[in-house]
Amino acid sequence: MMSFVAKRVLQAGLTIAGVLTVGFILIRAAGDPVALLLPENATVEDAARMRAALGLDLPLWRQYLSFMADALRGDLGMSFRQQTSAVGLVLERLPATMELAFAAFAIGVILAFGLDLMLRIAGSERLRKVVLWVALTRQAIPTFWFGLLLILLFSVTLRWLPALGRGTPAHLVLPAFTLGTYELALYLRLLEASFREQETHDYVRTAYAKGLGRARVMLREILPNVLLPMVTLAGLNLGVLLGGTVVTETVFSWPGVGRLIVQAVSQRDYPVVVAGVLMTSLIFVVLNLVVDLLYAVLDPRVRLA
Amino acid sequence: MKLAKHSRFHLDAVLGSALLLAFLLMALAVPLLPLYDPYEQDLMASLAEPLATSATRTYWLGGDALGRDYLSRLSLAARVSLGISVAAVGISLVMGVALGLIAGFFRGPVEAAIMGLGDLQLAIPRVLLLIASAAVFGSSIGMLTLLLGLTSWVTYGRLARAMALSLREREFVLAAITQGASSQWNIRKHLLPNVAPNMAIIASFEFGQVVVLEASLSYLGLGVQPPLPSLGLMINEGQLYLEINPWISILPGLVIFALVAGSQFVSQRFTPESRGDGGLSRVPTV
Amino acid sequence: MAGCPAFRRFEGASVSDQPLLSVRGLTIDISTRKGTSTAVEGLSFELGRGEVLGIVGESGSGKSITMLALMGLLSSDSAALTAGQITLDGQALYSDDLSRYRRETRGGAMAMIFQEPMTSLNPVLTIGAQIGSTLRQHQPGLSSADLKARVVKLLALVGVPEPERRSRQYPHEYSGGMRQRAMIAMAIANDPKVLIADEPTTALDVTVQAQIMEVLAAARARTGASMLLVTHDLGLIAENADRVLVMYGGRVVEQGTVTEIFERPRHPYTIGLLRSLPAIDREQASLYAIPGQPPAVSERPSGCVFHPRCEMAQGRAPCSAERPPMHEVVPGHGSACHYAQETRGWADDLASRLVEAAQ
Repeated sequence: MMSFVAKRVLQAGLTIAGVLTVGFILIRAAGDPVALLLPENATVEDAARMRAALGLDLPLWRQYLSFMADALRGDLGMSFRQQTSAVGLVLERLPATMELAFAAFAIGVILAFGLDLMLRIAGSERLRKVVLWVALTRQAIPTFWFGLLLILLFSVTLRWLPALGRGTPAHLVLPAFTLGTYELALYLRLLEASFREQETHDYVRTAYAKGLGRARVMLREILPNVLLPMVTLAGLNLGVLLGGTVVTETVFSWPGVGRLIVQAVSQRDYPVVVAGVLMTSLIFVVLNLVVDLLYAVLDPRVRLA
Repeated sequence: MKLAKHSRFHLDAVLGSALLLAFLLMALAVPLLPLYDPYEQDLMASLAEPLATSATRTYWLGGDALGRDYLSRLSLAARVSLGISVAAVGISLVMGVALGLIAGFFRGPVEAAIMGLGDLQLAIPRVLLLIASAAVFGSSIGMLTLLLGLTSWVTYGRLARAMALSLREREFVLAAITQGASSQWNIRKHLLPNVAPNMAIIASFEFGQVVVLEASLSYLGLGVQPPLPSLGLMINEGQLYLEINPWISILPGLVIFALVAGSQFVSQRFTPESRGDGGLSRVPTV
Repeated sequence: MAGCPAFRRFEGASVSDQPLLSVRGLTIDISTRKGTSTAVEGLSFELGRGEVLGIVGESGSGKSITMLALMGLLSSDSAALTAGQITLDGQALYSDDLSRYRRETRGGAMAMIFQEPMTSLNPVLTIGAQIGSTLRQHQPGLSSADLKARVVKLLALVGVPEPERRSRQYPHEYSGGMRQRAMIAMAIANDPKVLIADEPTTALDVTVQAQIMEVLAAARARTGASMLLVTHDLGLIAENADRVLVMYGGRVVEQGTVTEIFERPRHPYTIGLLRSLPAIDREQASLYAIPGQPPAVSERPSGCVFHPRCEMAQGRAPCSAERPPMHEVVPGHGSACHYAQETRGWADDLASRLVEAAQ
């Protein structure tokens, strides 16, 4: 197992380095920041001085190295608009995003497992097919539009829930369910495919041959085998979840990182855009690493290798 | 004891294909249809409800905030979004298959480089990468198409590489190599036909994904720029007026939904598991 | 093979006593992409107390699916029992209101060992847990300490070294032979009356095969269980079975004691099978093989299911037109052939032809 752990950690490190490099490329491709930062009546000397101060007169490879060094120390540049650290701005908004993402994830996973297992044990094949069809349909609905529809129904028409902003627990309901229903649909279908695949394995036949009932076979024999790949898949889907959070924040004016990024784009505040994207990606990479390590602990074939 | 029958007719696939085909045809036909000018503003018709009439004409789907004919705008928006999506899928398909086959066939550092690039791309959530790239490189139609294509190749690439890895060991490829066939010929004649069916399945699913991505970008204001309409953009434009005329936001979403649902149903029906090729279920009739 | 006595026979085996297991007219339909076909048709046999019935046949003969039907393990979406009666110890197994009884028999009075020990065990549960679950299912009163003790005892019984430590291991830490031993332990855990072994040694090394058969013999000796031994390996049958059932194309073509079947086979298929075994005691120029291939399930011929490959048929009408009934050629020895009385002569004829060819 230790070799697996070492390999994965190394891989994560390389990926982080790669992601940071992409960030550097984007920042440089965004153009000359000096023109954006200087007031209109600046002279050529002012520009040259600023360029030197920002280290932009150095050769590209040295800029890259200093960028990476700064990044490892947690510095991804200064916001163009506000004279504060871009990383700081992102960190300020991070709790809101995490709250939304976590709520959506919890709704999705818990309801998916509960619903699917209940349906399986009850054995109603037709009902399960209907539920799966509904899930497939929900996945076809663009999340931001779904959020709008929820606003239309629950805020505008029924006036039960607030639409925009963050503050009371009621504010979290609509955004969390917008994202959460997508996660629910996703995990429901993943579970379904996973169960169906596991059911073609011989050990299932052995389990029934021992006289075990359907519920026991589902829960004690098949479910552990389903959970393993599910853990890995969940890790991969966190990326989709984080991406979805970004868009959902704009629908509901939720003050998270996503909204920050979108606003920064319209303000041409590239350091903040890049910082937001990079930090979200980093979180994704780290979470994936944790998920993989968790898998290594859970699967006896890896743990005892 | 009754035996389940294996049905050959699948309603959802038929429905899905029909939907997609209908929209594609409609999008292609837009310039020929007798629609009003989608850019002409008439503030008297601002936020008109669907089927509103004026002295001279009927607003079949109402008017948007600036009084532009909604049906025309919706048709044009569908055309724009579809055009971008189809082209983007084409780009990512070609790129993914090419890179994947090359990686799988030649192996070594080439494979490592290509797969490494793919892994790196996957580490950044697609929406975020698109937002940042659109911010930096611009949101013109061409650039959007290119970006959407460039960020979506990895799924195709991975599958193409996996297939290349297994196919290259097969006898007919080895035989061709011993007879002196060039790598390029091998790839073209042997690998491509085998890879095509699976790629079609992925492409049909990815099409829906790309449509939503483009719509999301446009919704955020980072995609198609006004005055050109796009489905996502129109949803955004309508959000301010939900209380007055919700149709402005609802209708484009329905179009997106139809497109994505169609693509999902089609791709799902053609995946091997649903065709019953996945293996025999071991669950008995308890 | 001919003339090799079957040792390890359980003393006192007799079919004339009330049979333990009785199967009458078993018909199983399967559903494939090509439509519905009949995998097994009108199968009938009996299993006495303490005896070993060997079921021999090629792949596609229907032997494995018959065993699954006995256990009630037919896959719900692809196979169904459409006719027939199965009786265990006087109790019918397939009545609608007795589905619970059927579940209690599975793993209890009737247990099965499968062919692929590598995949038949759950990879994420310990061996001890997997044996324990069948104990818990059929003997619910056991305390968990008792359960653990029994698991260890069972593993010791089947010859797993260090059973206490091993019971806490996972299947991937066991070798193929050991996994099969664990499967046997699971099967005998509840003292079954009938043990079904479906190709128990096919997936194992030759050296391990003999050991596994010994484990099975010891288990049977201890519990007095009868066994249905399904295999395509005639040698295994010769060494372990009391009686033999020969299956082809979803039907029984011949049945009798092991001595009768091996020394005086009375069906062209059985004769062909035995002839195709390489002989130790004489020279052979080439190996004999029954011409042709067994038919696919959906393409079974009319009349006698073997007739297209039968060298004795010679195009005679009844073979392609009527399904041959089971003739009792000699008491206790049945053959489903229209011309069963000719088989001895034909067998000798075939033998001398092969000897000539070798010279």
